Amino acid sequence: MRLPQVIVWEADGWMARQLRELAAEHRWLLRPVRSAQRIHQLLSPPDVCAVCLIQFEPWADRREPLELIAQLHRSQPDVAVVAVSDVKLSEAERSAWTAALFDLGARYVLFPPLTRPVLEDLVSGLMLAVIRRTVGVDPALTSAASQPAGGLGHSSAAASDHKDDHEPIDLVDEDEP
Amino acid sequence: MAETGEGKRGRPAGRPGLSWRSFFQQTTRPLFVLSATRRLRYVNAAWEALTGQPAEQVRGLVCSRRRHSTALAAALAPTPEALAGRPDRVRRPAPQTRPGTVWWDVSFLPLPAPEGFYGWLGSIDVIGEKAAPVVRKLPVFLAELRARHNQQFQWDWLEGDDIQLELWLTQLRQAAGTEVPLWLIGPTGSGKETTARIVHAASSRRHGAFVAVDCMGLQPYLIESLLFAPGNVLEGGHTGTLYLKSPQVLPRDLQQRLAELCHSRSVSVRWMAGSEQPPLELVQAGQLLPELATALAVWPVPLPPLAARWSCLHRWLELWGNPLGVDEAALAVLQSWPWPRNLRELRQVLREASQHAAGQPLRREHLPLTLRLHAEHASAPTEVTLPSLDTVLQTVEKQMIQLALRLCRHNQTAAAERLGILRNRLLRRMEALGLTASNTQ
Repeated sequence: MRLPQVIVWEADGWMARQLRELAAEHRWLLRPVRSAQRIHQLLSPPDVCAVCLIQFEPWADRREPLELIAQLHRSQPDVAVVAVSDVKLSEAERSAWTAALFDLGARYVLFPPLTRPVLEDLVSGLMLAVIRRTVGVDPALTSAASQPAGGLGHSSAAASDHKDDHEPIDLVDEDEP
Repeated sequence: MAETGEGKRGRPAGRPGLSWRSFFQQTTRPLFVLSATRRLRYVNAAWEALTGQPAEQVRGLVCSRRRHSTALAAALAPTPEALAGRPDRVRRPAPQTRPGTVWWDVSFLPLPAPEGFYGWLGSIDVIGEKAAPVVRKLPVFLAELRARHNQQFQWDWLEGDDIQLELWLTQLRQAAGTEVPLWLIGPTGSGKETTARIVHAASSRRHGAFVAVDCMGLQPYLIESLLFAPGNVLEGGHTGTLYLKSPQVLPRDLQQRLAELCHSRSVSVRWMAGSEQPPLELVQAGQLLPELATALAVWPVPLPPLAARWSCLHRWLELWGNPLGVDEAALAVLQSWPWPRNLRELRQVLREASQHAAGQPLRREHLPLTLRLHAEHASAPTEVTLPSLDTVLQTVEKQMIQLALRLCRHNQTAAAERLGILRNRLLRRMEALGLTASNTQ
């Protein structure tokens, strides 16, 4: 198993900044990305544990985030996807959007007010559940959830050999244009 | 009104009788009086009860609909018709409520005077019914995307040649034709949520959303916000099926609220739940509230084990990346593995193997080494020829005597003491085992 990843696709880097400490504390990789293609790359290994936060804009004609949520649910059902919007909606609209995004496969939908404690609670809870389901062990029972566990015929030595993998990466996006 | 020369307690100077203030004070109709300058001069007790504002605090409030006006001032502002001196009535959103929930019908009765204008007598009627909120429709492409996404959840995903599977499918098809709460039982990774989605897609609720709530991964307050807060996912009838994953992990008070919600007639949704253990066991273990079990576990359906579902393999391969199938050797390897994490584990293995296969049918060498080794051990002959016990005991005895003699520099008396036997017995055993002074050195 590779190190668990928190993948954040957003416009301004705000969510990644809020989650930096949480990721460092649990030794999870924080991956701010700028494209759906990069998310597919990061999730291409078969036994990856990940929580993916995707910012969407209701009413804007931007289909890519919504299509990505559906694609991830189809191809990576174990990856927990959280849809996040910073647009304030009426209650009725919020209800309609929440139902639609859950239907596409999102595990949770967040609307303003967005606060750091809520983001941290959401990501940590979902990540532990993903690890429990994907690896088959309770992360609370292991010393560190991020320690590589034995997979099906896949050597975990590769992960432990790369010390860089244990370091939460800097928030500067690696696929910066 | 005070400026118009009235006496104390609202009685005009020099005029005996009932004070207008006490007269207004006793009515249950919310009343207010505005001066000619649109300042609030008087409100009665019913008005105070309706708005929650004491008269002392609002007296003098200028009631206009300017940009900086408060919601209360805007609600009480005279209409242009009333400003022109004619009675009028207008419907406005009530202040301090959520938009679109409660409305006021505000009536204005102008109070003209011989020289000038006293002001307005106003009254409020509360409109009880909820006004329909202005909701923009969701984009068309989102509806198309949802329809496309939900098309993949079909019965053929579960179909196979096995009789046990057929019986199970029949049960699920019947469940899809009803509104009865369904409880799916199966180990982790056995496809409970996918099965629930397929049942939802075949039910009359398929036009609503399928909402899966991960009770294990979400904090209870996030679930409360999702299901009970204003603007929750159950409002507006957008949700068709609500699926609770492992509801037994929720705190008991939240379980109680969910049980009450299940029985509530205000919520129109199909309930489903899933867990590893049967709900009855969870109740007996004290994890699941009996009320919630009664509400949700009306139709418990156990999922068949993976071993009974190998006839679905070709369909799964299509879904998970290799529609060309799998050869017999690879199938034997797959079937020999116990799959402790069920379909989830099988999906991971097939995905990775399909990547190795690179467009070819799946062969044995594409599968992980662990699976192949396990299959080899499983297929190895199980008959092992054991040596006789006498042979083993004699070998051990011989080695111990030789060791004792070496340690004691071939002094037989000392070696016998070390072994805890008499010297004569040692000599007899040495003779029986063919040990001589020469071959022990």
